Amino acid sequence: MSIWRMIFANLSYSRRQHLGTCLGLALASMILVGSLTIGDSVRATLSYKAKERIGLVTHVFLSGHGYFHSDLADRVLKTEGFDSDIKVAPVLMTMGTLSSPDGKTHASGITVLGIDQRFFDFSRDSLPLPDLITAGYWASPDLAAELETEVGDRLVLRVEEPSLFSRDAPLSGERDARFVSWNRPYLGELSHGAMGNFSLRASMEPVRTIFVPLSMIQEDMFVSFSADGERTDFTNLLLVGAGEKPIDPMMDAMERCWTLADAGLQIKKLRSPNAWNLRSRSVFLSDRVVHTARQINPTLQGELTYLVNSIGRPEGREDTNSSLIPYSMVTGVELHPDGILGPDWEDTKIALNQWAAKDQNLSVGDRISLEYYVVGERRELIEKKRYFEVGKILPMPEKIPPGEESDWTPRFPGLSDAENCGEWDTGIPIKHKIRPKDETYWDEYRGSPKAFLSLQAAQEMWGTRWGNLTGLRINGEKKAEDLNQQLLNNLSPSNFGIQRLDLMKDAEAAISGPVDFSQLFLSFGLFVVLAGLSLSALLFGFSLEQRNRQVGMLLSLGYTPGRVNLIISVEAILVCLLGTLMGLGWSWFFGHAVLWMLNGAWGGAVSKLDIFYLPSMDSIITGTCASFLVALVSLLWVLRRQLKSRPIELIQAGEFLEKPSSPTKIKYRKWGWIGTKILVWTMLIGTVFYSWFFDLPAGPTFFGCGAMVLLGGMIRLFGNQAVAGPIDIRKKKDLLLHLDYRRGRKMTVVGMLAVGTFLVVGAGAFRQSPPEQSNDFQSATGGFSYIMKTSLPLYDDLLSKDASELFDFNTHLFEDVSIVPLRSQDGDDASCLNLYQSKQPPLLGIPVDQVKGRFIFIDGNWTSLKKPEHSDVLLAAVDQSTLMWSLKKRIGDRITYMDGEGQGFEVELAAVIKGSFLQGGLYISEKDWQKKFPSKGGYKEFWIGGSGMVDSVVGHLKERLLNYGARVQSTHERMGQFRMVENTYLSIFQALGGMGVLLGTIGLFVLVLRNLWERRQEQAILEAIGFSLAHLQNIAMNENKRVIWAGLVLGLVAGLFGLIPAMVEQKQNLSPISVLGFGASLLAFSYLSLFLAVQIGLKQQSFDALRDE
Amino acid sequence: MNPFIDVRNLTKAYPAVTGDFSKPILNDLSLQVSRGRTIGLIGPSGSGKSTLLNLLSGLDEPTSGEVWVDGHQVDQLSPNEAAKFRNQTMGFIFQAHHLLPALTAHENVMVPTLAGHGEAGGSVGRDLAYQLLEQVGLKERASHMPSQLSGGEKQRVAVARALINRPKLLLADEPTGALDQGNADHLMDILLRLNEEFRCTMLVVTHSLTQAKRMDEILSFQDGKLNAIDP
Repeated sequence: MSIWRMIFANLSYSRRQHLGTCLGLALASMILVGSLTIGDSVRATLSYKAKERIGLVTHVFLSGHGYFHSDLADRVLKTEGFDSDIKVAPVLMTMGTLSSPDGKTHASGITVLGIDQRFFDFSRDSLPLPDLITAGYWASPDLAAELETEVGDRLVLRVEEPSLFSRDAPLSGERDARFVSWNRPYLGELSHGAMGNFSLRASMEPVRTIFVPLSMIQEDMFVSFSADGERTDFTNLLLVGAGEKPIDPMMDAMERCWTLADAGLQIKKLRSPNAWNLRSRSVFLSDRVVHTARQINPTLQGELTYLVNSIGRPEGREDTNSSLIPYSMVTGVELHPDGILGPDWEDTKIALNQWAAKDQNLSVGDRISLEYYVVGERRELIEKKRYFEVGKILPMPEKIPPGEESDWTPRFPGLSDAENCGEWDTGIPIKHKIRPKDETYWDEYRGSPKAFLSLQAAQEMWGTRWGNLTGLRINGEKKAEDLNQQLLNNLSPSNFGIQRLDLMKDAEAAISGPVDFSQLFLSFGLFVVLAGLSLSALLFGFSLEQRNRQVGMLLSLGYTPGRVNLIISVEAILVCLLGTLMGLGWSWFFGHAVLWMLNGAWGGAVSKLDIFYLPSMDSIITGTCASFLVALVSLLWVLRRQLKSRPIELIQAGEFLEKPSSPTKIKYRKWGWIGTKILVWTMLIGTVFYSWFFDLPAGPTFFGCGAMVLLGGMIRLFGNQAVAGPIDIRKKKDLLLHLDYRRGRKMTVVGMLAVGTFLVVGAGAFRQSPPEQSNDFQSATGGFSYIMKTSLPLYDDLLSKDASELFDFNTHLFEDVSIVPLRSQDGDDASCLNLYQSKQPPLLGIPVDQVKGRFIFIDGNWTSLKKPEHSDVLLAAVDQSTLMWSLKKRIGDRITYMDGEGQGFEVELAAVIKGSFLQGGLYISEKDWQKKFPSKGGYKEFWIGGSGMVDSVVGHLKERLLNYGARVQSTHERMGQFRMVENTYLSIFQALGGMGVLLGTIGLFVLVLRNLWERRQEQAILEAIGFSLAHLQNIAMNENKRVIWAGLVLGLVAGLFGLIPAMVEQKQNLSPISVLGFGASLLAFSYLSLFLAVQIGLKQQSFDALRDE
Repeated sequence: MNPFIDVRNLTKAYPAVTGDFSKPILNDLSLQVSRGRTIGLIGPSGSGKSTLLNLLSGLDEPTSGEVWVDGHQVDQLSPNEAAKFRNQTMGFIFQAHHLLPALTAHENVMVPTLAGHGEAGGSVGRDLAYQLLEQVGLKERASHMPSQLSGGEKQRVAVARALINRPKLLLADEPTGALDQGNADHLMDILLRLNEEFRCTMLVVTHSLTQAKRMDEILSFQDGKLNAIDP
């Protein structure tokens, strides 16, 4: 025989006791391993979805606002030495609305992707791919499901015609957005294998994309981009598939292939001999281009041409139109010895051409006034006037041949292409009558300026955030060529807002999302783990107690305590191993069960993501090892207690060994308990004060205060016995009631029931329903009832007269309704609805004055967004949940963004809003936003509220703004989505807490059964002297029901105490009915468990036990 | 020549629930036993007979006094030294057999050989265990589990187990207390026969004067004191 034989024989002999221990350990192991594998599965699913979303695309080059020529992709591929394995494809991305001709089907806010066959090179699957010869639409799987349209049905796709420059800018063209629409057949669904789910953003939102042939969409969208309309091959996205290869060669090729035309720049040969002009397709040259060009050639002469409303004598104008010249181009020029105005021209003077001077009968020294519009906030046109003295009469300009333009005037949209003045569509109201001679001038001289003034004066009047020059003039062909080359050398694509996104890297990073489901389920299941371990420790303790004599005997036979320890430890190790392996098997079921719930009733926690089970070997090994170690520690802890006893005590007392504490120990322990009590009470009071004074969130307060009360209660219940010594039998009311029998064991069960009750009550209390719609500014909705988003930007103040006219609003509805517009830069949704990690949340520009006093701030307020004068760092407000959970940042942290010119800038988190519908984005002041994204015009998000007929207004807006893809969501619904996530987490927590309570009742069952077994001789004696079985059962029930009540009451008191701060602030939703319901259920279940244990444990007369005695 | 057992001024008292030490169960007791002698310890319940055996074996600690066995001061040994000393020097028979229920009779006999102080239960131990079982008349029952043995048989296995390491001192605490007269006499016969064969010093606690008389000496306990009685 060997020690191993002894160990295995013991294991086999005690298999029943060990089975219970194993089951408890298996439960703990199941939770531990299962939690890790759930996290794996969520990550694996997110990874799969991310790969499906981006295909083989590793990088994209995205133009933030402008467009470049799609042949850039071909030029890059043809670059000498370019790696032919790298795939490049142009894609045009915009937003649009889709509807059926009969209006029955309507989908707004959809992404429109213009693609060619190269797009499918990025597909991971070699499926039969659709050909793009047929002009029609393919839909992403989500959109196809939404449309419910048959293949072959015709659909109308409508997108905004891109403007040459921001529609917020003056002279940007007609006020209303221009739409381009197509009526084409629906050709089917583009499967996810064929890149049907392609999207730049990692989001849980459905991918609503319509795919159209690139050439089809380009032909119609960019007609106005060139004077002749011939070149329409514009795009704004390059997809790159570099695989594992570095992206640097691609960057080099991009730099080399990049042309001024891609950047929308042109060095135009002027009609004047030997003169060239640097111009922008966007009319205004950006400050960066001007700065770079001037560095290259300091002799460049800037000019700024603008359309003024009138030139005329300042007096008597109101009486007759003949006293003014309507709608003329006026140019500001840089003063130069060879220039048109000479070097000493004063800013107060103006030079008129002969035509203008003659028309107004003006001569040198006369005063004239210029009236012109500037654009204020939200395209408000503000008419201004400035007086000048006529300083010079210039000769008549040369006549402009048809199809050509004046050297001074850039190509203004809606103006330059007009055949006559009646066709002008400049975006400004025509309030002056255009005379026949004005038409004649237009016919002969087109947009030739009628007046010139100093550039300084011109920029003072017409300078904008988009630029202060409309051209830079250069003399000499060589210098023009040099400028062309040097500009290319000095300006990279990023300077024109071309951003490189590392799509693959970002997608991989986003997988480790804001919520680690491994940690989530581990923390939620921690109580079950502890309950399982406690139950196992209890059962293992019983098993060891039964073997006290055996251990004592081994010690008396000369086994050292260490050797006995080793024998039982090995036994414990094997039990742990078995329990852990059982748990490993169960974790498969647990994982599937949880995923089944997550894919169903708990779907809110994962935004309805369809998760598949895919555990990693790392997690299985880690979880199994951790479970094993935790289990072993808990069993060895029990063993350690047993080996403290002397051999003779073990032999004599056997399983009834219960060592009374020595007086010295009691004395020391007494002081220990007093110290612990003081500590717990101090911590409790400290926690209460800390949480109330520092306004901690309700969750930590609940757990902090509740845990202290639980601890205090347990000390009260357990501590008294530990320090009191034996019970004074004279004070016992009922001699047969052994309430203190094995009190330590009972306390384990009391603890399990109390903690379980505490968690279940707490989780139920924090379940929140979304706030009702209200006008309360100091609320989660800030007094707003609806959020409206549009696919296409709106440029006007929706409450303005202009907007009413433009959209034909019923203005009566809008009384006492406030609409706050927001500018938005796309980003990764950072709300709790997105399981992916948000790197750059959407950046929204908010008109601070319109939201002052709204929402509840935890830190700072809206005025905190005002940045110091010379600081480059923008200040943002952010929702608390976004800050803490999605971004995992703190106040003062910064996030880097790219501005419209590809330059990085930082946004500092300066204000925190308490649980609001603003989750998901960062909010900066509108002014700061405009400075960083000057080329992006309009608003796409609106908050609507007020005491008026808000519901009617919203319905009206949806109807009137249908073409803009207006979609509306109530703030109540939005908050409901967020709350659903929280509530689902609470449901999970509650379910696992309930499982813990269940274990507590099982613990109660085992405990009662065990105690009755130990006291079978006592029962036998009582029966022998005439007690009925029913009487004894009654005694047993009375002895043990206090365990149930102690657990329930302690858990409830701790829970309610923890909830006091939340109840005071009405932040919780504690329903007395649900608490009573839970309490009643727990009582019923526990009593049933107790009843069964008593019935089983005391079902027979035990005279055999007497014989043993 | 030094006595094999030398107990000097031994006192043992157990603390009362009040924390005070009650009247000692052994009070300033001294005792010398020569090697090879058999001693019968008699006295009323609670007189300290078992306590003396526990103190001699190091299973319990004296309140004061010294316990010397075979030249070793047992009360000064560490738990591990005491265990080794017990394993190599002593055999212990309790009133209850305390057999391991998971092991066969043969395996139970071998248990002391696995204590790790010497040669672990190899073939010698196995053979000796069989031999001992044969000597206690249980050769046929070697592979039986304790639950398959009668009370007398279990106690005989316990006797064999006590002798497996060839102890110099055999301590028996009411070995026949739970047996009927026939079995008790039979067990005592075996015990004395084997003791003679193994040449042990033996102390037997018993309530039976008849059995005590079969020993070389009888010591009677009364009020914590020890008196010699002629057998």
